[in-house]
Amino acid sequence: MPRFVIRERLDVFEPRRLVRSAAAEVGFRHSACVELAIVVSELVSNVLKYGIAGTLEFERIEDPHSGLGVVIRATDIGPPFQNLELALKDGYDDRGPIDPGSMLRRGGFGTGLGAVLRLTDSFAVDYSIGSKTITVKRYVTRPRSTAGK
Amino acid sequence: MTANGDIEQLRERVAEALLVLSSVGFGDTSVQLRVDVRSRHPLEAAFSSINELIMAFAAENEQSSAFRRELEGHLEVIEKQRAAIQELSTPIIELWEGVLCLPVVGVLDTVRSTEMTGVLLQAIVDKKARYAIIDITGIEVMDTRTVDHFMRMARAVRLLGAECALTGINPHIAQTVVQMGLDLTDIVTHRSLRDALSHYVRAHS
Repeated sequence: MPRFVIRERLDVFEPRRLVRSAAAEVGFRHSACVELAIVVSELVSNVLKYGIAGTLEFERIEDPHSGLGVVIRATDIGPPFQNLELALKDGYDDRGPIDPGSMLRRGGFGTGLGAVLRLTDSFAVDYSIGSKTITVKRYVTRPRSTAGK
Repeated sequence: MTANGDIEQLRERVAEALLVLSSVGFGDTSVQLRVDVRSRHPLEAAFSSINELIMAFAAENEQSSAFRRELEGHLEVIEKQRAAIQELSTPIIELWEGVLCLPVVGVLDTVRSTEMTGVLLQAIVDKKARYAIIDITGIEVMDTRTVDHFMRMARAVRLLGAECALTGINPHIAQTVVQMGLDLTDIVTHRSLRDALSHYVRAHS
């Protein structure tokens, strides 16, 4: 499984490039490959924004029910989400609404995790001491309940 | 007889030395010549010097491969940065007097689209632009929120007193816009950058 260390913004390019080719190999449509690249981008930004550093890994999965897909895991050294439900909401981080005036300074408008949620089929957060891991899965054939959400 | 024996021994030593030197030549610097310290033969002195040379060579070699590794590391960083600059840069092109174009290519995430907004709005003020064209021909897929953000960016441009046109929207993104039910009434779109520019030129000549 490819594993990438994330310490700075430049570290986004390698996993983003490789996830596209990996997804293409698994059998994702071209547009879905780009969407997975966006997911990787957002997860890396998230690691850098809310954690100190972290890692990102992805691999092909095959699920008897959902078929072929890709799982992406992003782990950061940082505090747990104060409120995950809020963090996933567009225009919010885990503490509450984001002031539109601060968007340029903080580099984003609080929709990164929302985008991750929209572009994947399953989303889970696991905590361990001093770190958290976001695990997302996306299947070649999107389950009805999540496609186009 | 003793002289012959000496010569024979000497030959052996020289052959041995040649073997050792050839392994050094092949990169094995861990080898050393056998030196008899008790002997006063000039050959022993020569051999000791050769041993020192081999050690010095080994040290130099070690250092230069450390440098090489470091250099390779630097090259890797430069390569990463080059790719980054290409993707991260937000070039704003002044196509015409007062006409700015922001061509957007690559993978568009929220961080980058926020930065683009900042750069474009500042450029409009700095260059006193009257028309801004955001060309997204190079974007295949966007998250729905990012599409929404582009619409907002277009409105922000208008607040600064400039016109704004979105060009190069592909069918996939068009579908996203419609599915989201975004209000397009005040957004000017053109099929291509070329169309937008000729529209502007016609309207202002």
